[in-house]
Amino acid sequence: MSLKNNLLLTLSLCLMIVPTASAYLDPGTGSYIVQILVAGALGGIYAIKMYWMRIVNFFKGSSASDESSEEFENE
Amino acid sequence: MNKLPSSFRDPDGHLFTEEGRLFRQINPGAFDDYSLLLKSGLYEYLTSKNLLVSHQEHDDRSDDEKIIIEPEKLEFISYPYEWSYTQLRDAALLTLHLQRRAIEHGMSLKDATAYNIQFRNGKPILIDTLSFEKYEEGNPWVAYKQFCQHFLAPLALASYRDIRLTELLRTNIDGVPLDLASGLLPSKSKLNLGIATHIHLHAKTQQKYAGKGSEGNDASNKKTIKKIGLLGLIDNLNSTIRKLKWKPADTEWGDYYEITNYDDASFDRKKALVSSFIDKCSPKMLWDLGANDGTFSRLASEKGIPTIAFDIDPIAVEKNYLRIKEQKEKNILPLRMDLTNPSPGLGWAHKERDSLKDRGQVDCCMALALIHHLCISNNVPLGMVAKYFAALGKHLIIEFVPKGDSQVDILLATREDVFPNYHLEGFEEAFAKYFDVIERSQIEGTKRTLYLLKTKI
Repeated sequence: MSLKNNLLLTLSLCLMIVPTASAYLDPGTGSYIVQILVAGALGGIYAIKMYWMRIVNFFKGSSASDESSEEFENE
Repeated sequence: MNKLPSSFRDPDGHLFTEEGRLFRQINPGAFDDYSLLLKSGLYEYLTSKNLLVSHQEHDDRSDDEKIIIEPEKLEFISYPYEWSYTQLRDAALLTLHLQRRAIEHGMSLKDATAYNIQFRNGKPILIDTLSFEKYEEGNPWVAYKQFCQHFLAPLALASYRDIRLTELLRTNIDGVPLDLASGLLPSKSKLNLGIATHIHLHAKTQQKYAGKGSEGNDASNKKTIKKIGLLGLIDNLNSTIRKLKWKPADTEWGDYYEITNYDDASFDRKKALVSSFIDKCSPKMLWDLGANDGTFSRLASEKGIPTIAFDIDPIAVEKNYLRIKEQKEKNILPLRMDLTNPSPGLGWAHKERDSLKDRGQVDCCMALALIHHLCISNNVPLGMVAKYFAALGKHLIIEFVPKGDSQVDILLATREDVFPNYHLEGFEEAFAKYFDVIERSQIEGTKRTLYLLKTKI
């Protein structure tokens, strides 16, 4: 393996490494924080998506149905 | 009354059995949530769509201290580390779908463990009636982290790395830790916005706030999540999982039925023999050990016999499940199982998740074209195979594949033959210690012999 490849491999391995968390720590706080951040950003996008789907369904003349409803609720 | 050893985490209730029947006790702390589940229409909606197991209330056994319900009992309990990729994916998508329907009814899933999902009639179903609590707008989804650990992390690892990484669910009973998943995923997974946030950012945020105690809690308590944000989160998890793909490479088993030494006539004769043996023992349940894509399992399932089709190969199990979905087949459940290292008893006191053996003994096991893999590839003596199979099933339909058969010759081609007792007489002698022969028949056009055996009492 060339020096260049070695450097690339080392760099990519470093990027992948996330230090291990200790087991005695609070398991939930970080999850709550990231959820607040992500949900804050996704709420607006979801609202736009829902309005868009209503418009599409209006012109298609079909009722709104998502993939999961089709997959799990149709016998 | 026997309290189920796996039913201890949730203080709101527990499962117990009595004379073979399954009951759930609901404690006073969950009375309001249980009442809302019924009054909101969520229970009726979900059970009518076969998304949640139905139950009967036992008013005569209920009082101020407890409500007793009798949920529908499933024939077989499987675990996420035994599922194929699409089984785990479908269980994940169902969990998100349930959460969305719950929010619509003013409720929320308080847990999102993969162990609450089972497969019935080829489809996933929630088995925990107590998983729903009242939704208070502003509250985050308490099961978000658990969902990411139980579903998203193993699916992402299978998709980006290797399907075998889903076996991490076997060593991590509460799902794959996100720092571990983040470390194992390739850098390119950070370009996937869903994986970047729900796994990589999630893992880093967990680390950042780990050990900060009240400081972290203060930060999370000050902010709330609007309902639209929560629905956006659920929708994003849903689309992230739907975009993940697992494209398996061909394995040695994937096309097994095309490369055996059976001609069409012999194959049909074997099917007819197996079918007649199944009829003779008319089992209430059948386990097909080494089922490949379930071709022979269907001889039982199509007779209406609940059948579990175990195979070591994740591709064979995946093919089987996809076929069940496509054909809307019932009575058959494909599962991953390495019989040389079958699922052990796991969790607290080894009792939270049953071993394969503890989920038996079933009426009938089948082991077709399997014994040479156990005895020659894995050096398991014939007597030990017989003893284990006798523990799994009362009847055994087994095919002996002798030396000279092309499949055995392939296994012996690259190694020394250290199996002097591996022949028909040795097989019969080893199995005679545990089984009586009901019927035996050579499969015409092959060197193989098919047996119907019954365990000695």
